[in-house]
This record gives sequence, structure tokens and C-alpha cells, in this order.
Amino acid sequence: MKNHVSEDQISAWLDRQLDSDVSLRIEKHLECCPSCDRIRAELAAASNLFREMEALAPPAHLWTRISAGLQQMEPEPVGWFAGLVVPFRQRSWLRAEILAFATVVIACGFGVFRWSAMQTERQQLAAIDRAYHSLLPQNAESFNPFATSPWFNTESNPFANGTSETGGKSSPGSQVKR
Amino acid sequence: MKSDSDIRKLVQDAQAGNSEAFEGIYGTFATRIYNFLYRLLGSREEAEDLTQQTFLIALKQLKTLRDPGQLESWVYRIARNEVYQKFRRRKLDSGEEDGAAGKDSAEPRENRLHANPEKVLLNVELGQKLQAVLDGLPIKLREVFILAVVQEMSYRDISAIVGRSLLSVKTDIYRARLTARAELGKYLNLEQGAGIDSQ
Repeated sequence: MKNHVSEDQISAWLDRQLDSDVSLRIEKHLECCPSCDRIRAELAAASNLFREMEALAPPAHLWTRISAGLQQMEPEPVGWFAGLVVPFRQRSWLRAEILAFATVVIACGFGVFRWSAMQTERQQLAAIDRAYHSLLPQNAESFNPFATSPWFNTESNPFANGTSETGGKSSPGSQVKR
Repeated sequence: MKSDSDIRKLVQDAQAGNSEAFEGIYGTFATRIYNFLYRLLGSREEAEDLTQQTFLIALKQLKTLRDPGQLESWVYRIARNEVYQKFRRRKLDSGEEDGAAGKDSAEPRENRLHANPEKVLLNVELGQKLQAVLDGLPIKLREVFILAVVQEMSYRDISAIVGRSLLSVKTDIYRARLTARAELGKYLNLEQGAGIDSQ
């Protein structure tokens, strides 16, 4: 006979898990196919042994133990905050989400704080820069602090008037009056 | 077995804090959960511990159950998770996957629910052999085989409990059935050869 029923279909048929039309088709096939019916008989024999295994009753003291365990449960929070606390306790994912949110908020807060501190620092530096430029003389470009030094002779000072007058004949230090 | 509406009522009462409803839920599912765990673990003590643990978790977290009609598969899922955790701990402790540690050597007789000798098939030896066949199956096949064949649950419910597709459940049950047939075939032929009538 052709078009035998597959063994996994026979297995599902034994557990009554097939649609009624498929089930009926298999039943008809099994009636007229000895090889498929032999497989059915073998699978059914093994299954029936397990199906007939004794069901054990749980020991009587088990409920007593469970009941005692339930009495040790944490008391339910009472009051206006119970609506906040109970879902928080019952849902671990909520705790994880709150933790993640808190981390993001802290990170953002730290970033904003650093940015504002840098802004303040920039403003202070700009103020110092402005103050420095305001203290410079009008002809700042030709200003030479060494030219007015009291320790140097104006004649021998190589920096006087911004240019050297020695023409490289002697070193500046050798002409200092002692 | 209670009807669906009875179970919904029990769940609603238990969610409202009624302790009698807790006991009602336990009474409805305890035997099935205990036997599921016993067949899965092969040890009465371990089955007791995990049944206790399962109901403690289920009853404590009952308020998180949104659909009371899903109570049975929800309790089964908790029981199954407990078994997997136990196997993981056992594996960490001794390196064995799901071995025979703590297996009962004989069927307890005092707790039999139905002692009809025509229905209760065989002797203690066959009972041990059946349990040994179950123990020899990989846990993935064992759980679906017990749920389908021993506990006669629908493939759809089993799929919801184990979190696998219907096709995967169907295939695993078939593979477990083939292994069981092969193992029992060897045993029964041997018994017949030795002149022992196990029926």
C-alpha cells in the first residue's frame, strides 16, 4: 500500500492531537494497512505502560509547610504609597528600568554641570584677557619693557629703541657699568 | 477537576487575599504538579521540595497573573523552571547533567491513588523500569513526554508550558516515544525470555 502514515503522525494520533478530518483519514488507513497498524500497536503499547503509571498523592504535610511559608510573607504596604511600592516589588523589570533611567539622569546631570563649569571658566579667562589688554599702553606694538630698565645704560643697552647699536662688536653684558 | 469558571473565581478570591482560595488552588493542582515533578526527577523527596517551592512562588506572585484562565500552565511553568534551576545547581555541584542522584529505589505504595489491580499494570520492577526509561531521556524530551503521555495534556498547552513551537513539541514527543519503545521492547523481550510474565 502506498501513502503510508508517518510515524510522528501516528504518535500525534495516539495522543488525539490531530484535526478530526486528519484523524479520520489515519484511522481508515490503519484499518487496511498492516505495516502502519503494527507501528501503531508498538507505539501504543509503550505509551499505555506510561499512561497507566500510578499517580501519587502529595504527602499531607506538604500544604502545612506551604501554608507556614506563606504566613512568613512580607506584609503588604498600607497607605497612599502602597500603589507605588507594590508594583515596584512585584516587577523586577520595573526596578531595572528605574535604575537605568537614574543612571541616564545622573550622567546627563554630570555632563550639564561640566559644561556650565567650562563656560564659567571661559568667561573668566575672557575677562582677564580684556583686563590685560586694557592695561597695555596705547602704542603697544612698539612697547619694549627692557628699553626703560633702570639697570641698563641707555647708551650701551642693546635693546634701546628696539635695535642694537653695537653692531656686534661687543657683547651687551661686557658694557654694563659696575 | 474544577471548571474554568471555578478556577477563575479561585484566582480572583486568592488575589483578594482569601487564604481558603490559596488552599483551593493547591488542592486543584497539587497532585498533577507533584506527579509531574516526581516523574521528571525520579525522587519523591525532591518532588516534595520542588512542589512546595512551586506553590510558594505561585501563591506569592499570584497578583501578577493577568489571565486567571492561564493558571495551570503558569504553575507548570514555575515548576519546570524550578526543575531546570535544580539541574543547573546539581551540574555546578557535581558536574552531572541530570543524573540519578537521589532517585527512589522503589515505588512508594502507601500513596497510591488507585489501587485497582486490573488497571495498575505491573509490579514494582516494571515501575522502576518505566522510571528508568524516563530518567534516560534527555530532559527536553522527558518533560514533553511526561506532559503528553503521562499527564495527557494537549500539545498546545505543552507548547505554552515549555515555550517551544507546536511542531517542536510534536517531534520531541515522537522521538521520546521511539526511545521508550526501543528501551521497553528490549526489557519486555528479556522478561518474556526469562519466563517472567510482567502483565
